[in-house]
Amino acid sequence: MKPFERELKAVLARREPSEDFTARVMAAVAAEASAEPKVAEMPVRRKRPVAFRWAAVGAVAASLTAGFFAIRHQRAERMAAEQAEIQLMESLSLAGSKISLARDRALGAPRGD
Amino acid sequence: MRYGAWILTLVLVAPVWGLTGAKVDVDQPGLEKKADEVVEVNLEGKSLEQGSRLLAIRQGMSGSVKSLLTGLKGIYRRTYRFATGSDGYEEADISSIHERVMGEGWEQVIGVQDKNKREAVSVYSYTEGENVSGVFVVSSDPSEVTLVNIVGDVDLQTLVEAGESFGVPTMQIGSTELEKLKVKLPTKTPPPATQKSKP
Repeated sequence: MKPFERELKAVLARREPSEDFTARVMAAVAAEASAEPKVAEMPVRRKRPVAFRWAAVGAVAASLTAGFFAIRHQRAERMAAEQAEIQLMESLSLAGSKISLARDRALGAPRGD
Repeated sequence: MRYGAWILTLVLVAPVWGLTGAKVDVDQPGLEKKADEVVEVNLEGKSLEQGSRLLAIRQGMSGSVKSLLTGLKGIYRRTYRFATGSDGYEEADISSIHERVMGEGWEQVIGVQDKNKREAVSVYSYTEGENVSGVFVVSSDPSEVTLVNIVGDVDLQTLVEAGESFGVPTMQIGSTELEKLKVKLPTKTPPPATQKSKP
């Protein structure tokens, strides 16, 4: 047997555990079981103050109300403009036709009846 | 301080003052009381501006009509309608309007009258310097009296053209046979004339 083989055999030879090995293993298992389980770290969600939430709700409500009134105002303005357009057109047509008529009659235009 | 108050008063009153010359009070309480239906149109300031803008956009009008719209300062119209069979109005109601207008510096440009049918149309103009700053039309027949006051830089020929370009049928506006007599206008502007047809 070569010296290297002898050394290897010595190193890999079976050894008996120490007498307190079992006691140490059991103590370690008991300690592990009694310890609190580790909880995975979760991102913490901070609570916003209540006032902040109400302010946000108020802002949304205010913008919705403002939008509603803006649309209503715009619609009313458009209706008023359309009404003014019709009145303007009718009044100018009326005045124009009366002037035309009076001028025709004054000039002695032939009557249609 | 005293001068400041005067200046402030003048500044505040000036816009209204500028209108009073060519503006006629078209409200006729006497006619309104007797009328079965009253049409009231008051266009000035913002409403006139909005209406003119919309009209110009939609109608796609010629330059002269556009200039008419831009020169307008106010339109005031009253139409008093009287139901058939009602007492109607009296001649005095109409003659008082003419008398009042003539007393306020207005000049009658055209006046036609058909005594048989009790129909009449008068056109007045108000001039400031050399420019016409207002037109007043009084039209009456047994069933309707119409007063139209147009304040602003108004040209009668353009007004007639505008009326035609809007395409509002004449028969819808008037209610009498006078409307049926309407014929095509001569291209040349005729001189002011007054004519009364007698039976």
